[in-house]
Amino acid sequence: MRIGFFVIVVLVLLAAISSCNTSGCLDNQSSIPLAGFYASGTDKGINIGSVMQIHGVGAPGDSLLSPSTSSASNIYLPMRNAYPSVSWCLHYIQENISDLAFNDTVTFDYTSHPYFASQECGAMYIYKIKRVEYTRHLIDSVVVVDSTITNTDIERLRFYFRTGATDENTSEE
Amino acid sequence: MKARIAVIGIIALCAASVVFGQTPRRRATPVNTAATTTQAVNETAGDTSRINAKRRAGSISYLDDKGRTIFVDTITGEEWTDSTVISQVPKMEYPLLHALTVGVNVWDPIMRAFGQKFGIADAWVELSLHNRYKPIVELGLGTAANTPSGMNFTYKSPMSVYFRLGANYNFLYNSNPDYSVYAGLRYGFASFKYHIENVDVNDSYWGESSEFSMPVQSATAGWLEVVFGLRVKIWGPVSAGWAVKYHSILHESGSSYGKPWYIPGYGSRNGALTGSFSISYTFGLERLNKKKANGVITETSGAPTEQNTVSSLPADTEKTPSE
Repeated sequence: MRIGFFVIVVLVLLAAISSCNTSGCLDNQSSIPLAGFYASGTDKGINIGSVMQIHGVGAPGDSLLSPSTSSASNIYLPMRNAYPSVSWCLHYIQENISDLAFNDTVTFDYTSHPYFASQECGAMYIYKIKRVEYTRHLIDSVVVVDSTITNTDIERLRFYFRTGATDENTSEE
Repeated sequence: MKARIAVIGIIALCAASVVFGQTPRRRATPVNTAATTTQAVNETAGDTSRINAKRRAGSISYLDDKGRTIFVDTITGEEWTDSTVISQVPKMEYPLLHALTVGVNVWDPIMRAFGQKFGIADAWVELSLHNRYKPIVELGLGTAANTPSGMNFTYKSPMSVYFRLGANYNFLYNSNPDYSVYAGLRYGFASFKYHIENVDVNDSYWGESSEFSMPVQSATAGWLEVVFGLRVKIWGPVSAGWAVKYHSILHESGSSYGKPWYIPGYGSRNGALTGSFSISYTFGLERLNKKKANGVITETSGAPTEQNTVSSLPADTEKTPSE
């Protein structure tokens, strides 16, 4: 009787403790910098999908990156873990500036380092951005908010574009 | 004339020596009157401790549900409370060196049966002081090997030693020592190594993948545990007990490769609660205590004697852990 009571207590204890443990990765499972796109004059976010197309230089088939939503003003720009730099081509699709001559290119030089985040988020590379280089057809500036790129889901890059003050494609942040 | 003065002086000296040099002498033939017979009684008539001592001599006692000693007059049946013992610290029923308990914590082997990927076991030694305060030392081994399903790595930590130091407080310290309900604190420390291997990183956009392993990392960690548990005798000196533990890391060494997932003795870092389940063996230490001399009954002022309490033991015996 006494042993039976203890077995029941231990089983309840096991269930309670296992249910109290955290599970699931609350951040990303890889280190991908989140980049925000802003109008330099107003500091308002730009709807990426209606203004430009983004693809990685050297990506298979020049495949485009898609923002998470049609009105998103930020997008993940994955690094290349096998290379020390990555370049992104920004092709503008608005009228009058959709010519390839207006394309902007942004290049990041970085170092990579193996990193174990957690059991839920896994192991990955983290990156340290050493240098940023970009053309300035429509880009005003590129700001690296935090040069260490980890799996924490925060905006670490900010792209500022020269746009009209009343640009209808800007959105409130 | 001179002779007269000398005689008067000698007489004066004798008189002075009688007056100032007189020492109190024992009265050889005291006179007993009604007043002297009742004098001592009258002087102590208002002494509460004497009154209560006299009442206790003619009473039995028991502990009520609030732990107060209630005396019952054996003649009148009247219940009364000795006010001089109300705020008194409860007496320790068990001797200072009460028992030594050794145990094995089999929580990790049990949890491994439920799918846990780390831990071996630990052993502990606990000294029972008055069956109330119980300093404890725990020493254990821990290891980990885990490849979580759906994840991209294998985590390994070779066998390492850890220890915990602390103490328990038994809430049932004046009750049967076969049962204990306790709370405790522990400080744990572990020095260990870990490494992560077979890390597979795939990038769907760039179409690239790479594999790597992280070098072996050395780490230390210290943590605090708050324990609440029960223990009961299951057979002879053998007991079983379980405990719930809340733990929190106090300090740990840093690493550029990330923090360890598993800390020996602490467990995985994704959970503030854990537990223990121990089988233990108790040795009585009553022989190491000084025994009271038979027949000597001491009574402190205002305190109840052990002899006239229902729940007390005979004066020449002490409670000892069952063996």
